[in-house]
Amino acid sequence: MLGAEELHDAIATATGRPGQFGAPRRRKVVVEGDTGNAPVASMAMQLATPRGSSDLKTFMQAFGQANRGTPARPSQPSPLQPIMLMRSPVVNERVLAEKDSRVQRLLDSYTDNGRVVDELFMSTLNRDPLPEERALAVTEMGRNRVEGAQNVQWALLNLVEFLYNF
Amino acid sequence: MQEMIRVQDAFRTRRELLRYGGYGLLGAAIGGAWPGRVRAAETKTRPRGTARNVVFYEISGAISHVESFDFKDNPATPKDFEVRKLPTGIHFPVNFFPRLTPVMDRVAIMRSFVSHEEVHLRGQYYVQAGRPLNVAFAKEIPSLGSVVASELEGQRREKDTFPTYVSFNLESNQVGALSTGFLPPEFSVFDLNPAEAVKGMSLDQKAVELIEERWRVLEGLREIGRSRLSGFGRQIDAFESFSRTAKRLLTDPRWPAAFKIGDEDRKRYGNTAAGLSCLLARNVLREDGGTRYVHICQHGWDHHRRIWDRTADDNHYALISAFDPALASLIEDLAATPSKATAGKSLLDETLVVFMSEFGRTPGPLNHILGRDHHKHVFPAMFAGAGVKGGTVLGASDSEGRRCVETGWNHKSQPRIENVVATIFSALGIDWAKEVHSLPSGRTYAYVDKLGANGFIPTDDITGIYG
Repeated sequence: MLGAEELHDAIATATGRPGQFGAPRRRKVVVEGDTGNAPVASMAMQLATPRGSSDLKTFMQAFGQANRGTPARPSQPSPLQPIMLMRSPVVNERVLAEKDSRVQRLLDSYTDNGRVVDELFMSTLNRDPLPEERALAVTEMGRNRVEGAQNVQWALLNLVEFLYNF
Repeated sequence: MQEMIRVQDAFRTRRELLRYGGYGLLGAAIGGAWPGRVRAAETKTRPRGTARNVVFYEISGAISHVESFDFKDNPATPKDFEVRKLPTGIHFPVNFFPRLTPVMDRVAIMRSFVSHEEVHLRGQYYVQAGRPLNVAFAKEIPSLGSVVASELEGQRREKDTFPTYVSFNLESNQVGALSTGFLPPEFSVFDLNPAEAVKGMSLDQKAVELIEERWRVLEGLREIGRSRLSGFGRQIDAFESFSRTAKRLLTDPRWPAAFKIGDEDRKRYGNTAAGLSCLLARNVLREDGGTRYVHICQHGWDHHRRIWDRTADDNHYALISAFDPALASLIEDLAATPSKATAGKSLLDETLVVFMSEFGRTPGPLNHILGRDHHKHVFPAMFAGAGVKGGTVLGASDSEGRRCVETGWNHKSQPRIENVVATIFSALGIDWAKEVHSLPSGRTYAYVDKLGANGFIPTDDITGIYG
């Protein structure tokens, strides 16, 4: 199963919405040309210590993020994990068709809903959909194209296959 | 008589409610290894069974006992303390505990506790696990709340969706939230950051509908994948049933209702981590959705320096002003809420509230940086609800609050956290002499550990608090 940082980065990659770990915290400038800001990072794995919004912190802690001061704890299973995957803005905001997300770009690029579904599967689960899966997802998009696509990617991120296989 | 029960059978026959799929899920600490047998001890305990629920309020980092629940006039007593003798006979700085003062007649104090530990990490572990930390087999030791959850699993009703063991801010403790050890993960703690939970768990109708809509897609995909994924082991099934439990919880209207809080309550409890934790604890218990054990952790009491300096961060005044309204409101509200389980009783009548620190603080004059350090030799624990006789004071410390002069029960040795654990089990009607044999390491897990640092210790519950 993916660890906290891996999971965050996998979600960011699958949805095309990288993390934004801006660094307003200034440290003392000792080298000329150094701005004093920590570098901006897009992946949780790039960070020396955990940073980010409180939503992100809650999400990461549910999946066993360590503070790098103590050894990483094995992720303790708790009902918080699926709740986070279902509810956290870390997932929910990223599947929305906005801010150049995967869903938005696919909807803009393809008129064929089947193609959108194929690409969603490929970017989230790294495989093509089975015919039944494709049919189900296309039906969902037929109901409401934008919401359908968002719901499909949300569901793919909530599959245990994503947690283990990404 | 020895009673042998196979643990596997006991758990397997229990209903599927909070089953996240058994042990070994998601790389739980102990893979596949199950303790063999539970043996009830030869001398049976007599559990009181007066409580349905327990709220354990951990004053984490340790409150200065000589300026709170074991007040001693000392050279460092702040000038602005207004110490009065309460009707129950105790001296109490009433102006800094304005809300708790009238509630103290519901509270029993035992002032003779001693701790095994004198550093936070080990002390906080001790509070959560009910036994000193032994890193060699800490992996297989569950937290007290998880043991309680496993014992109460058989009492869960069909309508129960809330986790049995809920905690607030435990994860930010020095030891974090302990795992379920040798117990299956279904008994794990559900730890919430109260401010985040108010934001994230109070789903409105629209949010519930969205989850229902998306859930349909998710279940559809799972159904299709079922045959393809079969044979990949129980981890797959386990996470899915885990996820179903979560969905059931989120779409139970009682759960979001518990996290919707009004401005008036927020003001009364205090808009602090402690206040919100107590408020949510009340709400979760009031909804009666299956939560039976609540652990609240209030941090910051580690006043080594400038304890009475109002300009210092997290000074004693600031923490008391968060602690006082939070805990007092919780006790008041539990007392004012009728029980759903037993007609004519209040929720407080069936909830044991325990509040204590992991140890005390050095009494007498302040140290050279105007603070108080760790002091394990004597410190108090407080109890309310579940039949506890308010105003009871057991045990005593010397005139300075440095050493114990009266243990307050029928043993020469001072009571320890192990005895609080026994008291909690007893109140919940659980036989605390039980032992679990053949842990993965081959050791035996006793519900109440009888091995102190210097030999055996009494494992009795504390009955004096009931008058």
